[in-house]
Amino acid sequence: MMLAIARKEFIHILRDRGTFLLVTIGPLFLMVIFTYTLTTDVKEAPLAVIDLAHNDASTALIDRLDASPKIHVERHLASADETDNLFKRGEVVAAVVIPADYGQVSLTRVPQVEAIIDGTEPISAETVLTEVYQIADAHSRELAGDALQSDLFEPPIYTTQERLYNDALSSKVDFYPGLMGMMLGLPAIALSLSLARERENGTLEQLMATPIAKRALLLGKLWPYLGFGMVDVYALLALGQWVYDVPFTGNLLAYSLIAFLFMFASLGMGLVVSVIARTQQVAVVIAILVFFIPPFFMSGTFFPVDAMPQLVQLEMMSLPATHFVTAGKAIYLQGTALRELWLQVVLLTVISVEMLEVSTFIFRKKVVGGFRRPAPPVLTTKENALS
Amino acid sequence: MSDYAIHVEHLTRKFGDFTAVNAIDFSVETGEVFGFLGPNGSGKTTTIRMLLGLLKPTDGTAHVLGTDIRHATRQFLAQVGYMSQKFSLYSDLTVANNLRFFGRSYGLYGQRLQQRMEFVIELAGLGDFRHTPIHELSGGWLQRLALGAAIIHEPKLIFLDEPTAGVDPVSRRDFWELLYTLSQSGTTILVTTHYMDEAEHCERVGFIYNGDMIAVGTPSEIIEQVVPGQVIEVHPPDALAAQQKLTSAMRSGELAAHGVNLFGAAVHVLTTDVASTQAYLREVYGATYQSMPTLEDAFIALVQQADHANGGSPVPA
Ligand SMILES: Nc1ncnc2c1ncn2[C@@H]1O[C@H](COP(=O)(O)OP(=O)(O)O)[C@@H](O)[C@H]1O
Ligand SMILES: [Mg+2]
Repeated sequence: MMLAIARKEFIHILRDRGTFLLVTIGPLFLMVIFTYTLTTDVKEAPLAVIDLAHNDASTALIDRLDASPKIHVERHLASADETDNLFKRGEVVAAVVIPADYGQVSLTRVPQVEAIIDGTEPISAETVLTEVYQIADAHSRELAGDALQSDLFEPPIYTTQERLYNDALSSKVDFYPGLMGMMLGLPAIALSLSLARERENGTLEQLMATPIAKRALLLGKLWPYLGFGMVDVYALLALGQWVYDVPFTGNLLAYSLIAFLFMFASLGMGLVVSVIARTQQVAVVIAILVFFIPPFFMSGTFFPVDAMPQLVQLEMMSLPATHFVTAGKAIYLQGTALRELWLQVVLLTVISVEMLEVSTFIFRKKVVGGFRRPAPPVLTTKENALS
Repeated sequence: MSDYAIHVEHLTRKFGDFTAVNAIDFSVETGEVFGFLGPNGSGKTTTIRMLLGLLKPTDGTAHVLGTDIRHATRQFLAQVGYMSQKFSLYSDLTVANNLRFFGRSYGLYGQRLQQRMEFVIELAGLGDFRHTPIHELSGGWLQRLALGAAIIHEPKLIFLDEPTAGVDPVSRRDFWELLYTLSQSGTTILVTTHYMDEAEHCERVGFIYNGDMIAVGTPSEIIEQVVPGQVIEVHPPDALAAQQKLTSAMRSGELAAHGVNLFGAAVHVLTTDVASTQAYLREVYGATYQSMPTLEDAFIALVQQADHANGGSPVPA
């Protein structure tokens, strides 16, 4: 009987264009849009310069910085004290401090340029940082000439971050596996909608009158979305690997297991949403709040979990996306072995079972039909006046 | 109790402080076509949901096919069929897919599923539409398909909640023919409707109004009890004024009648004293027509009595 539900649901997905798009190209499309807005080339990012050297070398460096298409030297400051204010007002995204001894190169040491970065502007600041590094590096090498052996060379720059959110700025490579957790929320949203739709259409009441067990009904609806969700997982991996150059370094089987557990847990949450929501509109709103916003902010994609208030951290532990991002990132980027990620496997399994049981429980308690306002009784036979 | 397919005692359902079904009692015998009648919002659907175990009663009990509905199991649901009030098939699936789905939901498979599908398609005359997505079918076909889906598992008892609402008269008649066929093969049928003409097709009827079961019996029993005698019909130029005038004449005892009802442009006067009433009406309005009272006359009388008992207001708050 569960199979009958699954089969029927599968046909629904194929027939309903909206649902079909949502669970097939939806996640890919969203990923492309997202990465596009996150990685579009930064042009003429405003920069503050604090030149403590005031010599030919420092002037040459500033000219080169300004000449870069990605950087515009917006302000010249006397000291670094003002940068924080400029960051807060959004006038610049980074500041470069050129030390007083800039240009004096010895065999073992290069004077380092300090880059101060606004941590709240990770994308443009990162671009600026890379650009400043390259320019300063090239310039230092030129100044040192052949005298310098490259392996003795210290980095010509060191970085300081103000208004810090993230110890290491996210790069495309870092956030791609994390973003996958967000995109893969789409099948769960589609599932929530599907059950809410059955409630609205009255087919749910008909189903309740059949001998199908409640858990089988919910599970039957879940499987097809899980299938499509796994296809999405591989499609996103392929997109990352070949389009965005985010190399997959781990074990695909291990990753598949984590992704499967995550999809199941996330769809389970979708079921909970849909047994609570009375209408499709309500389901959509709750689903977006549950599947999109929290994974975006909380799953470590942009902001480290450790920096969050404890209550929020606790809440995040109950979100499948958090564990998927942690484990997925580790396998994807570092090739971490599954046995080191047993905690995430256990947590995802626990959440899966819990969500299924919670949704089944609520579903059983649920009053059929839902609330309707009492309509005044009317005899609809022929017109007849009741005195 | 075992010769009853349905036996209901003091069944009550409240939503908050609103009583949707108020301590109703009735029984349906095995093999009977029972009409469950009442205006919209009177508690028919709520009662059926309770009888299927989909909604818990606030008070009272009911046994359906011998099962206490407070402990309805999946085995119980496998023995009853339900065609809910709202159109509830999957409009993106074909006729065959819908039937197959509901068949499987009831645990049918293989040969037997195929056999039942063929039987139902044949019965409903849907042979030509087997592979048509059902959103392309018109009301009458859909109604028969929905009935087919409700009986695919050969239930002993079926609940039909306003199966003919919004369907044209010809389709309605065809539908009732189908119900007779089913009934003849031994299926017990509880059908709700607010079309009074359909009520006459039922072996027994129960009339629910504002949650109260105000009459149960065979149509002729109810008519006999509630509106004994005959109906004298007149067609005055101003029916409403005439109805008011005749009502006060009846109350003062001047007119020997026990009911004066408006039927469109006609006024029906219910009486056991045919001769004198006819004479009285002829004098005032000329031609009169005489007929037997219908269930509709009985229900209007019952509703008036119920409203009267409620202090004259037609809808209790
Ligand atoms: N879930 C519910 N919550 C609140 N009121 C309800 C609910 N279901 C039905 N009602 C009310 O109970 C009354 C009876 O409804 P119903 O059984 O659907 O009547 P019928 O089927 O005879 O038209 C109506 O006034 C309706 O608004
Ligand atoms: Mg109803």
